[in-house]
Amino acid sequence: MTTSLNSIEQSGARRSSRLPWLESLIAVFILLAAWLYGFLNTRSPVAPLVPNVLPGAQRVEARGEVFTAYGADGQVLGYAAAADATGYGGPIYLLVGVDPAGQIAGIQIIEQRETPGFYALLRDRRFVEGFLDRPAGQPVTLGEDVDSVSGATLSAEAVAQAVYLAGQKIQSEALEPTPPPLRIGLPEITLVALFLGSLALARVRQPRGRKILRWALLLTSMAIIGFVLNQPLTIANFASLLAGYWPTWQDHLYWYLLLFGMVGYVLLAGKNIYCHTICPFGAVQECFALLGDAKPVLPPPLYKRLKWVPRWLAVLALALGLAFRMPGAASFEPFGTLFSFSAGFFPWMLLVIVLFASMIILRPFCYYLCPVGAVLDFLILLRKQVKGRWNKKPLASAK
Amino acid sequence: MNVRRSIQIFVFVCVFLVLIILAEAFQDTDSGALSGEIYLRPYIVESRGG
Repeated sequence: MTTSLNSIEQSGARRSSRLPWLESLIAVFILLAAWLYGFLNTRSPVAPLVPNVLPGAQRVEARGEVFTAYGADGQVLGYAAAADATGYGGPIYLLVGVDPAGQIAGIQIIEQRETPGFYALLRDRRFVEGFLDRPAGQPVTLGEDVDSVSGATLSAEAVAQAVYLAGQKIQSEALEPTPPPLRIGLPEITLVALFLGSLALARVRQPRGRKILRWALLLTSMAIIGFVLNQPLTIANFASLLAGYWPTWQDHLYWYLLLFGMVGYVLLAGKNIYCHTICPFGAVQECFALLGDAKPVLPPPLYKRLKWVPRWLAVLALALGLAFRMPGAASFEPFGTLFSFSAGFFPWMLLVIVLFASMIILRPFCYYLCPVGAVLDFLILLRKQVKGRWNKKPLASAK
Repeated sequence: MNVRRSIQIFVFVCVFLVLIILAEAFQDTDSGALSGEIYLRPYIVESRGG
């Protein structure tokens, strides 16, 4: 097999160069402008929506975050509160109406920035109806209290969490929402195992041992992170991070481990272990590389120009995700198309072209298109430059 | 066709597809953002906006 680890590592090393400060400043300025635009153009006022979830309300009074709805005769019809929770691609913001007996009477989805395909699954399965007539402020177990939606588990959990938080607000304005229970399962265990395996890989000196361990990591990631969970690191994760859409850590530990684990290691150690040993789509490309005996193709003058492509694609996707506050829609990578077998015509076309090219060129998506790799590379360059300046070394020696 | 030309075509086509994918994803931002679906007892669903 010509797809050796050394060739990949050497190719990866060729990606590094000096940090282009001018382009970085332009990119940061674009992202700040997009963030500001999104900040000023989102979130609609909630009070006028209260009669939607408590029909018959003639008057609405706000007390803190809780709205009290009154009928024509002045009697209390019920209470309403809004809350949001983050799913896979972005938050779902909803309004919950509760009758005086404490039962949920109505729910309105005010805004949602979830990945469109996942949200469509919730809507099509009429998932939200399962919460009606349930007691407000009580934790809900998906699959037991309310039917879950396979293929959109994180989105369904976000709805359940938002309904729960809104109910908690209504139950007691002063009561802090009870944090959800800590959840550690297959995703978290797999990710930590892959991370530790990647660290161990650096200590294996024997080439055959390195090759075997690396393939074990890649295939495990492809099977579990890719096909079973469909939760690889995407540009949507970075867009969510920058937009401030951080899910509750107790039940989204995977999100934090993935994002902060990989970014944290890049910043601490200056190495990108995700792309080379954990990325499930990288594993798929390498499997296709075996079929066609693909090799790294990075002709120096051309690659020097083309390496700007993933960088600016990353900036474009992040800027759109921030400006419209739809992080999930920023994810243009073909990861979801492959691992969920669900997408439109153009994502499928992109996937087919990339996989076909993978038989000739080693990891073409990684080197020429991937926004995640571009972001992680940028962080490595930034770290290198900052460290170089901190140590008062000339830039040339930091290369 | 040499290797460089092949890579250029590959990148050009893929970037074109990526731009279309992003345009499709963000073209309907208002209806995607302001969902407006209302669920009421006894399971009446109204739809406003998207």
